[in-house]
Amino acid sequence: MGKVTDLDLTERFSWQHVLNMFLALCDDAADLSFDNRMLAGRRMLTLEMRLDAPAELTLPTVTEKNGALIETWANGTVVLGGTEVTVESEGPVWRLAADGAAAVNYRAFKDMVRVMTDFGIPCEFAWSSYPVAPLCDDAALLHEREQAACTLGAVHTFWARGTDEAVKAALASLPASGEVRVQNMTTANTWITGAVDSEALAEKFGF
Amino acid sequence: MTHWSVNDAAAAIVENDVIPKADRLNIGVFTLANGAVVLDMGIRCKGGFRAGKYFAEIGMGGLGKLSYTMLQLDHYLVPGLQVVTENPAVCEMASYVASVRVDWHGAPQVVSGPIRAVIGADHFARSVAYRDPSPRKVVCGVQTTEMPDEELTDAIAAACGVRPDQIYIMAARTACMTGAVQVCARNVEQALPTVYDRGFSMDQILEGNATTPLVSIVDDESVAYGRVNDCLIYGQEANLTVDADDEAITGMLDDIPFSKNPDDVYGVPFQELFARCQNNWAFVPRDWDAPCKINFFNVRTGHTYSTGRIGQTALENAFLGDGGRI
Repeated sequence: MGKVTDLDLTERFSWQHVLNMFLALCDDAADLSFDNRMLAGRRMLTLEMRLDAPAELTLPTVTEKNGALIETWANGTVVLGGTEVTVESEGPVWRLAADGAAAVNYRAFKDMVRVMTDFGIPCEFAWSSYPVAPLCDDAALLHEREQAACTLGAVHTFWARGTDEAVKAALASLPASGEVRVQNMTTANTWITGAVDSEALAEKFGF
Repeated sequence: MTHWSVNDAAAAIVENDVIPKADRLNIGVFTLANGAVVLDMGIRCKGGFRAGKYFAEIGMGGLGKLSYTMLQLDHYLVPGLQVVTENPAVCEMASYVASVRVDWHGAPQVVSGPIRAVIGADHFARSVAYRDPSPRKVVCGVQTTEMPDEELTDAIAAACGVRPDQIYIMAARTACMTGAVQVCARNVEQALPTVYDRGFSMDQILEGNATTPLVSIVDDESVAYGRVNDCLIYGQEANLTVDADDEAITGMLDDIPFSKNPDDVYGVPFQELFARCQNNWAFVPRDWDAPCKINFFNVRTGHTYSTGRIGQTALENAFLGDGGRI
């Protein structure tokens, strides 16, 4: 059985441990931090992820057990919710409240992997910045805010290789994912799709 | 700085933080026949964000910390980096500045890092009294597309007064993440030689920190070289806390920044400027290797002075190349 870390299910270590969890999920090949951005006159917290081996990351397999989501990554298992659920795993296990601060950050991390996966061209490096959605007890509202953070506020820069035509075609096929830029290391050109919409994001965040 | 060895501090980072994690840092480590240890941080190995951070922090002899941030250009939020230094004169002028030149394969190779502090022979090392005369190991960095070999490390050892088997040598080409980061991390460094050349004593600089946008990492060495220098001359901004007469600051303000150059220079991509100089630093006017923006905070008078300006258009051009929104 791997080590089990309770981030904020019964403990209160969301912010300290969530970056360590991401680092472990990236097998140490990342530089992670919190920063901030101005949004409607407020300095909002952002999650900053810089990956040195993004092509190694794949989305987790997800199962449900007694109300908990069990998300199995290559380098560990994340359990959201379900205080009574036990998980058998050889690797590390992180337990998160379903809608706490750690989960909000975790879903942003997972969205970054989703965007890279959807992009389809293996990336050499990646940087993503997500505004951290303001927490609230209303789960539906929280999820709406998180969705807005992903589609209206996230900024991604991926470094990849290929023809410009292939990069542009891959970008064009992405669903709404904030602003996604790909710096084509082969041609030295940067291609961009989507945009940050701060006004709409501020409204979704309740400003 | 009587009890701090920049080389021992740098070697401790190499031995405790870098070599044990070399695989996940995308770094290669090997020992040459003369005993020098090469850290391939971006020649055959790809390096990365963390390798770049270590290259810079090792180069600064443990007196500087690099953290990543983001910076807003006119239209784009871009990754950037911030460097905070202790004793900037020692950290930069005695250590990180790239100013030792040795012959390698018949051409000059510039060497940076704490190794320069052992005998302090080069022009900028002589700007400070600090020396690190007898470290256990010595550390240096080179920006090159070729893997360091015995010829290079023997030459460095001879120039810096050490044995080859004492050397850790970090190497990365410009056209990789490590290379871009370690150049853009020369943002406090970009300020100091310029003010030193105008007679400002390094003893008067108390604190130094700076930011640089990190707008471009590409495969072509010439393009990469131009763009990382664009990041410095159009995007670097340094804060220097100094203890001086105001006149010592105001007398040089207009003469410092890159923006003092005329329109046929300011705004032009560095790759083009460098080409005008036959891609040879020996022909590059000193005023072209200048800081973008410096803010002076004078503790003696409480006055603040700024000089230079960010070149937003040049940075966005370096970020986009011939690309744009699809």
